[in-house]
Amino acid sequence: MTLVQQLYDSPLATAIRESDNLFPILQTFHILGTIGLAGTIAVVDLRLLNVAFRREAPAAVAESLLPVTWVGFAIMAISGGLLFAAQSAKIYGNVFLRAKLLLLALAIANVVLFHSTTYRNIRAWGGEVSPATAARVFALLSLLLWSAVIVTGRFIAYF
Amino acid sequence: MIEAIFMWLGRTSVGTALQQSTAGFAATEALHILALSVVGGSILVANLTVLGRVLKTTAPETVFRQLQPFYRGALVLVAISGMMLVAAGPYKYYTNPLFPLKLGLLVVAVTLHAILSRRLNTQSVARRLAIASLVVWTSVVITGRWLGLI
Amino acid sequence: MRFSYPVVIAAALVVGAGVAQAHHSFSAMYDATKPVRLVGKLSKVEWTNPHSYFYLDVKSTDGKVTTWACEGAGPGALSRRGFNKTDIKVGDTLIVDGYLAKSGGKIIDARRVTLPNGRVVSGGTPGDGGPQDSVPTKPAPKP
Repeated sequence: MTLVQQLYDSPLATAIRESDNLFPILQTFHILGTIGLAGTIAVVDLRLLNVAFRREAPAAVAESLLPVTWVGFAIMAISGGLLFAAQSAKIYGNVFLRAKLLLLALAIANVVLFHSTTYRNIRAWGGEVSPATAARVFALLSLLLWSAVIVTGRFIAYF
Repeated sequence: MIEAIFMWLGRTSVGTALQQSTAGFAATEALHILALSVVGGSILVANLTVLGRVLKTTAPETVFRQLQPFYRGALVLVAISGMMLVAAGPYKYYTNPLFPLKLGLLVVAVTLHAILSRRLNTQSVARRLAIASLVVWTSVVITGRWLGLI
Repeated sequence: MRFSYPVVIAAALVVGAGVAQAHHSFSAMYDATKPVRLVGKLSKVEWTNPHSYFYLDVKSTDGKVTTWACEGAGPGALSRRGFNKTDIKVGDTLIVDGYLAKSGGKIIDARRVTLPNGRVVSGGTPGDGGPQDSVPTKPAPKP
């Protein structure tokens, strides 16, 4: 039996899949987590693009919102993982599910790459600084990738 | 009369187009989710600032002012995409008891945010309004999700 | 008694108002102009989220058996409207009314399910404007 089928048949995944309310509750957390994760990331990206909060130091904005971003990410990881497990065998072949997972990996890689490179420099920047091109590229990619994750996620149900 | 408005929405060209198109309907829902994420994100960051949890070195008035264009623009998109979704299936929303509840909560939520924006100078009042705002906005999202599940 | 499949009921009897009604993705996925009544033996049931599935083996007048899938709402929505997992079992003969999937496959959305004891339950989301969509009313007339 494939790994995906084993996951699908597991007691936890089955219980969630056949539940009256647990599945919808996980879906509800998934949308609330989206707001927490994407919302806080978007604010940081807007600062890096010099579109909002221009008087605030970019690192101060990012560090201040980071705990909320982490909570959002935890909610998404748990709800997303459980929702995936409950449907895994059925949606594994879905092109939008595959696209979403790929885009999610790219979005996370973008964050990690940004934090290990350009971000190290911006920690020295104060307010009224127009971030360097590299920072803007990371921020634009971030907005596009996370938006694409949301859109492909929604399309799974229809195709 | 209200039923007539719902039915009219269903007969608009947008409504009939979305009734025919799977991709169109899915895209409209996706736009609704993107827009509500911007609205929700703005509300979350603004209220957490009032509650002293984030952006502690920035004045709440500044945070509200900076987020305002995004909040307003996204709210317009939420409303437009929402109406398109209703046009794609008017009878469902007309007969669903959660729909008027969601709209009512949305009106309260938008009002709370507007009031809070003007009361940021009084911390005790502002903090209570921020908590109320978070609760009501969360309820809008929850009600929206459960619309199709009852 | 055998039933030809699928018995397509005249749109006037089933669809009702004539305006294309829809529920969340109904109109995007199913054709409101193609009502279908399936009568067959339940060969498999998936009482699952986000949608339940009932597989019926439908016998045509020439004896050929075809399996049709009927997509219903999730377990929570079904049980809230009086349709529970224990109401059906493999081997039961069910009558399922719905609309044909636009994809062209042997799939309908399970809007109304007539159980072996004659009780009629809703398989889908209420308020669609479809036939007896939200509340089980009287038992369906004997075929």
